[in-house]
Amino acid sequence: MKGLRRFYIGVPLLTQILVPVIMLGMLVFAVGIKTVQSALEKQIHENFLTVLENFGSELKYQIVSDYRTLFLHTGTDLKRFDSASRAEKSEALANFGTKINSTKYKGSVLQGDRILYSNTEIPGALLEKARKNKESVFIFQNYFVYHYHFYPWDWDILVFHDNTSSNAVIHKNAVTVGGIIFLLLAGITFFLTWILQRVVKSPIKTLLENLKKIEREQYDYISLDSSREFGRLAAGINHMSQVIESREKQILSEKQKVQEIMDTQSSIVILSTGSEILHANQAFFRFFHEFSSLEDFKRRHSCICDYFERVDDPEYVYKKEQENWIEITAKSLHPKKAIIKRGDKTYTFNVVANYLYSDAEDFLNVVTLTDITELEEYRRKLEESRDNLVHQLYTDSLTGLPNRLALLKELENMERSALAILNIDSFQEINDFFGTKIGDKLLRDLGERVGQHLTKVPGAKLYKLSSDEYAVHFSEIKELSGLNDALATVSEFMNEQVYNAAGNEIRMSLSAGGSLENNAHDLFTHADIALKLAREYHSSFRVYDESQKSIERYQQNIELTHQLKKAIEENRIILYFQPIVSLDNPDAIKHEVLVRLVAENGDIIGPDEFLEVAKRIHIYDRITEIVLTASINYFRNQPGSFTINISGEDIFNHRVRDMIIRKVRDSGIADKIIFELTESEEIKKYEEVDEFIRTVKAFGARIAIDDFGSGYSNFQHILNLRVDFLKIDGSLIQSILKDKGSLALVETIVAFAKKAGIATVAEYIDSLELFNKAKDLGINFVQGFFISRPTASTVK
Amino acid sequence: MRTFITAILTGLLYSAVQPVFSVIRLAPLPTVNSQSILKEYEPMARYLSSAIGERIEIAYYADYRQVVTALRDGDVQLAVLGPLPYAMARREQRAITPLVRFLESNGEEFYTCTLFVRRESSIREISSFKDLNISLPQKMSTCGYFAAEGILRSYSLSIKQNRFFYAGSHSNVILSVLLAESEAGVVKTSIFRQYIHHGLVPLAESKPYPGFVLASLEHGLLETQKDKIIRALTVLNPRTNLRDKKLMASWSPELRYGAIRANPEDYTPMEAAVLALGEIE
Repeated sequence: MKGLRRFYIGVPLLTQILVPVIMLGMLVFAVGIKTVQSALEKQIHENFLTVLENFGSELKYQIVSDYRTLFLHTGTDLKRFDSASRAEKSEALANFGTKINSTKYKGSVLQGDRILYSNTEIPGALLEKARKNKESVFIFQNYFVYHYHFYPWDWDILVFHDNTSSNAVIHKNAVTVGGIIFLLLAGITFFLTWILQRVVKSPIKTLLENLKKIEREQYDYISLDSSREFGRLAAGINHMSQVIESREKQILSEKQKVQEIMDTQSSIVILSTGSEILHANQAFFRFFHEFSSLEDFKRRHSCICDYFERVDDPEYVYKKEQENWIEITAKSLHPKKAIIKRGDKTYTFNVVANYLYSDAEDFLNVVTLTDITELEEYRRKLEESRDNLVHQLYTDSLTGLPNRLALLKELENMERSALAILNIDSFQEINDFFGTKIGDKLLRDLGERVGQHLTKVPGAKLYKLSSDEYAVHFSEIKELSGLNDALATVSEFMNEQVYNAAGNEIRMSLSAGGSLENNAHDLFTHADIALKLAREYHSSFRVYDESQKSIERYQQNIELTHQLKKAIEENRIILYFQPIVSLDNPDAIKHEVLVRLVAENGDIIGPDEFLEVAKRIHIYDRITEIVLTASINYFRNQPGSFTINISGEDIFNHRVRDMIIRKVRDSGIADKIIFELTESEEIKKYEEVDEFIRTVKAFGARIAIDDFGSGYSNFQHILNLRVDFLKIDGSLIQSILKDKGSLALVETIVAFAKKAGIATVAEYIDSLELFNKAKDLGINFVQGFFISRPTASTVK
Repeated sequence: MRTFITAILTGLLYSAVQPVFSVIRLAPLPTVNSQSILKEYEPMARYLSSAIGERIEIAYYADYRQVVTALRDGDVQLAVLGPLPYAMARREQRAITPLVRFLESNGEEFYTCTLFVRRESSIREISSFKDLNISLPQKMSTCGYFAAEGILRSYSLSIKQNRFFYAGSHSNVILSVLLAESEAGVVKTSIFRQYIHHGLVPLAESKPYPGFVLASLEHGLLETQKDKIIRALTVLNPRTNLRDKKLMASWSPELRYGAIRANPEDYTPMEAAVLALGEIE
């Protein structure tokens, strides 16, 4: 294309004018002929068709009018109508023929395929088209056609004219008119082109030449007639070249100033377009000392970024394909960094880029590279120091495991997951025995081994809590069954482990409590409860399950333990006494010692509400001791004896049993002490009970069987135990007035006791009738509300 | 003397309030051209004149509106009206009352209008009635806008969705359809049947309408005159009496098949339909 253009510019002026003129003329001629022919055809055809339509309509209306007259004249008389219409049709056809023959047109009247009249041969295709159109004026091949379908008689009336000759006329006229238009346009185009060349091209050439000189920084004066437009344009260009010349000098001066300012900077400063460095300050050459000038640098490097080391961190810039590091730096909110290696030293630079100016195609940036190598080193050391501090905060110093704080931090954003708290059984004893040094080593070893083992469990992480406690967070476990499996595996693993302590092989077992919860608080609390349960039940692990009653009981125990311990500490365990009266000797009064707990709000709480709990939480012995001690102290200075309840648990617990025996022995009033044992407890371990009874009786104490008749012990056992009193079950006593069976049983007990020389006691005597009945039955002692309600003592 | 004067005054007063007509003027139904109307109404006028003993003249008006105005203004005392013009006139002038209503050729009291096309037409369904040329007899003809809209509305269409024009008479409507000047037309069913052999196809029929009515103003005639006219027309029975049939053979087709006494209530449904239709275009 460029070659064609160059060739065209090179040919003579006349040719330059003639070529477009001829080409344009040919085009105009071709288009003009077609347009003129089309316009002429349109106009002539319209005229022809209008004339034809008028003529056809005249014929049509003649027939329609005749039919209308016939229709309205004959009215509803169809016979008359049919008769008249035949003649009317013939007349209409005759009229049609007469009229059509007097014109240049041809005509036909058809009824279906039958030709009723025609004064010429009708082309078949024309007939076909007419039948399809039904009614219209149209051009078909060389025919102008008027067609009317007369529905009442089903006639197709055709009037047509052959327009072959008119087409020839149209064509001839079109060529003539087209030729004239062509000549006119060609003349006008030639004239205009000549004018254009003379008036426009020559001055433009002069102006272009001058503009090229300006590009070469040659500012010549253009001399053109200033009265014309090109003269004024030349004056404008002259003025512009003067301004440009002045500006260039100014820019040169400013460049020198910029260079001076840049040289004052200790940082490397460059001016760059993004693709090319335009200026660089002296700091640049101090750093890149192997280059004597910017051109020298640019000969070997297209960009300073050639020196930037690749660092895959968005904070750093380096040379990448398709990316402009200066643009990225300039758009960044924060300074970027770049690493440059010089010899064996690595420098870190802070890189700042600012646009001096920019437009759609070009921009200029000031890029400053400040050496922050030392600063970076200092920052790195600071971060290391901080990381160490953080590490120490969240790490157990002994084992190197993450500590409780680390666990809490991890649980801050926890989802549903599991936690297990592991506690080494009897670690205190190991510590005491082998010393803390060995103990610490064992803790480290155990942590390492369990930690190693847990690497097989997905999402499991080991933490070190307090002295001998560890925790495992199972972030992937979402079901209790999963937790059970995991703890079983850990427990089994621990049982297999043998540790070496100062040449001794040691096996350590773990108790573990696990929980599965949605929040950290529940996770810790419930895992802790589960651990305590595991230890209480001597099982290797327990998993906290809300649905288990033991859990509820444990929670209740925790509360009651707290209350009971506090009550003991605050001396709120007090004694109540209920008299037991002898029916044989009213002066021989005994007292049953009963225990009560004074609640913090002052309420008196009966033994049923706390003794069972006290047994479960193993402080029952404390209560037994308190009651026994207080009773002995009280009755030491009081007349009469007293009964005191002890449980099988007191007897079977050697420590308690020994305490009781010691107290009895040392009391000095052993003969005043009567121990009440319940029948059911006694039966369980006969041998141990028998031994206890023998021992205390040896000191003078006596034994009563409480609630006798409610259990299943045989009388022979009772005889062998050598008890002193049988306290008949209160429910039996209360029913002897209305139930013969109960009465018979009580009578049998009393008879048996008399025979065996054992005194009988009736409890729950709450009426005169019952009192009298007991008396009648020969019972020796009575006790109950009829005699006296239990009364509070001041003894604590 | 006093009695005599009272009698004279009473006579004068009576004659002043009672309409006295030397000639009763009858306005016919302008369905066909004036010559035909005169030809068809003259025999009935002659009959009535002799039957009531008073002269009856024919007064020709080109359309219904003029007939109704003439009746209201007392220019005519009797008018033969189609049911639609009568119902419309009653909306404006409640004093117009029917005397007799004329029967159809088969002796029926009601007639219908038929919507039809020519045999060559491709239209065979009412649902196609959109953007068609429809020819109607006259604006105030019952079988005109009124019946055409009634038929099309029953198919959820409207005459307004088509182009319609008034051909002037029922026979012109039929001619217009035959000459393909319109694609469909509406005419009285009895007239349609007379021309069906020319190649016409019925598409739908309107609801039945009561027949043409001979009406007067309530006080436009003496009661005795009214009674005489009603008796004179209702006594004729052309379907069974050959003499009556011969007498009435030359009467207008709307009048020649007998008449019965009319009550205003006979046209109440028509009046309601006119109200529902709104303005007739």
